[in-house]
Amino acid sequence: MKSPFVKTMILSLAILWLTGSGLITLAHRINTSLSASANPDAEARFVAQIVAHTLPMRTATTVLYLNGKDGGDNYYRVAYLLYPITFVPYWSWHRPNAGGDVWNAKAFSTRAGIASIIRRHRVRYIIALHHPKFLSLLGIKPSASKGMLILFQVKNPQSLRANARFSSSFHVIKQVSLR
Amino acid sequence: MIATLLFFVTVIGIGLLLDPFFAHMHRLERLGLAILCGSVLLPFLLFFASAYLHILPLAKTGVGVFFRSGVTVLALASIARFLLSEIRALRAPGRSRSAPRKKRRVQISVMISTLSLIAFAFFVVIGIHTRLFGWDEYSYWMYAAKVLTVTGGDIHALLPNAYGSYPPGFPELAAWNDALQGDVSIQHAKWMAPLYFLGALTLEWGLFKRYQTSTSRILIILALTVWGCQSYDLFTILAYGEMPYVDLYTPGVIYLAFSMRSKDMRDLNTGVILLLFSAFLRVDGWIVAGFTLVLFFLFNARQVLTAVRAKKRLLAYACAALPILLWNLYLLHHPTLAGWGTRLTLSRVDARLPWPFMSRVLGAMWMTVSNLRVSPIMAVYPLLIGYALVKRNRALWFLLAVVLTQFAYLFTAYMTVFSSFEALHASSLDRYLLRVDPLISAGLFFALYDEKTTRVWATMSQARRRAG
Repeated sequence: MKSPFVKTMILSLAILWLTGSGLITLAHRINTSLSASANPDAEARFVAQIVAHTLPMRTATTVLYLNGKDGGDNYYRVAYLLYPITFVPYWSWHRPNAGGDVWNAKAFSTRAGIASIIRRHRVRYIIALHHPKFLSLLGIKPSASKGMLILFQVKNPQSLRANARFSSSFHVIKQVSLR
Repeated sequence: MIATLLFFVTVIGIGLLLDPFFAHMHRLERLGLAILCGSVLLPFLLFFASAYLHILPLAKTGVGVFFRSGVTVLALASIARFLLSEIRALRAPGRSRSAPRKKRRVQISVMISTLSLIAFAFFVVIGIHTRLFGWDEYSYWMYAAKVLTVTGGDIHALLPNAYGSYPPGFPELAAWNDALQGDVSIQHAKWMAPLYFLGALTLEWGLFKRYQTSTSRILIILALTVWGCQSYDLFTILAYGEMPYVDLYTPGVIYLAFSMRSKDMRDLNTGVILLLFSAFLRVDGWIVAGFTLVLFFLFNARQVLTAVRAKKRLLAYACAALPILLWNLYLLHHPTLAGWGTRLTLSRVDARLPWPFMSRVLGAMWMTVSNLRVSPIMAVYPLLIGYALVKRNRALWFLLAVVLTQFAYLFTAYMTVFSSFEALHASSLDRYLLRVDPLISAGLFFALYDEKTTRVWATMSQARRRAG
């Protein structure tokens, strides 16, 4: 590579190849990323819209958001959109915070686990996507329809215990079908 | 549009406050440095006002309005000062352009590299108007910016977040942008990464020009930088804190390499300042800046010892480290809920060392490195080692060593800090490799174009005098 001409030509060809392949992969990557992000984005907007109309938008509103779906992605989108509302940190009840199903977390296997989260973070509201396991823990009969968003109010979060009055502490304030 | 323009003007104006230190440089280099320095100084001012002066700099009333207009006036004044001095310099007889440009025919390489840069710019403009949101945008960077905007710039409001220990450089800047736009939106913030990148490329252009590289060669190097690691295209259109960090860190290392070659203390100063500034933009930035400087010391102990002997210079370095130092001082008094650092015990790390786990981490890293998007620049790396062996260029060796150390550091981080899920997939590695790409293309400059016989002039005026 002594000759500057050969050097320049090789580099020019390399740039040509890189630019061409880059343009092709970029268009492909943007399309893939868009198709992957469009649905979660729309769903998060819908959930945020319903919650924003129902709950007071202020820091004192502490919410436990149980989406049960995609390891944090939907959680962070909704938390971003509903900012002044305080969301109970995801990582405090689900580790590692990427991948996996929310309901498989140890905290949601017993009433005592749920009660301790609610007491610790003084949770006033629970937003949960319809899930039979969770609803049966709360003592609520699951309905037949799938894809439901249920908003609960917790009556006395600081004195909640896993006792006989457990199920009466949750008051359903709204049910919306997502599809 | 006006708000975006005002954002650019304030960032550049605040950055130009440091211009007297860079007065000997090429004009484009100074402009690039103004963008990069402004992108640290402006958020630092906001952070300082909130954490140490206890005022809300982005509040819509009272002292917030006073603070914001003060910053804007300061930026405008510094731009006016810069423009006036430039006009005066153009008029001065001794400094006027003497040699008229010769007409040359357009080279094919110039055409190809210009077109490839234009194609990149075109895709960035289209990309930032796409409604594409990355995970890190709403999970932290833009979330933090929203928190800061809504609370009027109250830095304490960030502490309960999972990323509370992250230095607030990028979120503060995005919040400043939100405040100017009068609206919280991820879409507005997408202009920021291209601005930083433009700053870094402008700076590199000026730097190579100052070292008497021809325009065609500079264009080739820049086109290779932009397309060599094809993660740049995607991450330039996302508002991630990673991009500004890369754009501050890599020019810093390139300055250090040039100072090693030319023995120019002023390049050394600029490199150190950029590295120390970059620590304010990333949670482990101070570690990376630290090992880069240690590596530089190993390569160039004599120059560093001479540099450190001057008290004035030490003071300048200490001032450049102020953002990250004051941030750490703030964290000392305000512990965060969760922070960056290892959550693993020694026995857990020990359990990761045996073969199955480690080989999978290494395999995932190799998958990313050999991926079509990153492979071009990685394929050049062994070639450069060959060049370095033949040419015995210390600056080239230094750049190659920094790249190797980055890999070693990232591997260590995956093994000790990341959760096993992230480690096994080498998550985000394509993003982390961005900071290696400009170093390899700068290495290409040292390997292909750096003739040892060329004498380097410390200043433009010296070079012009010699040429005239």
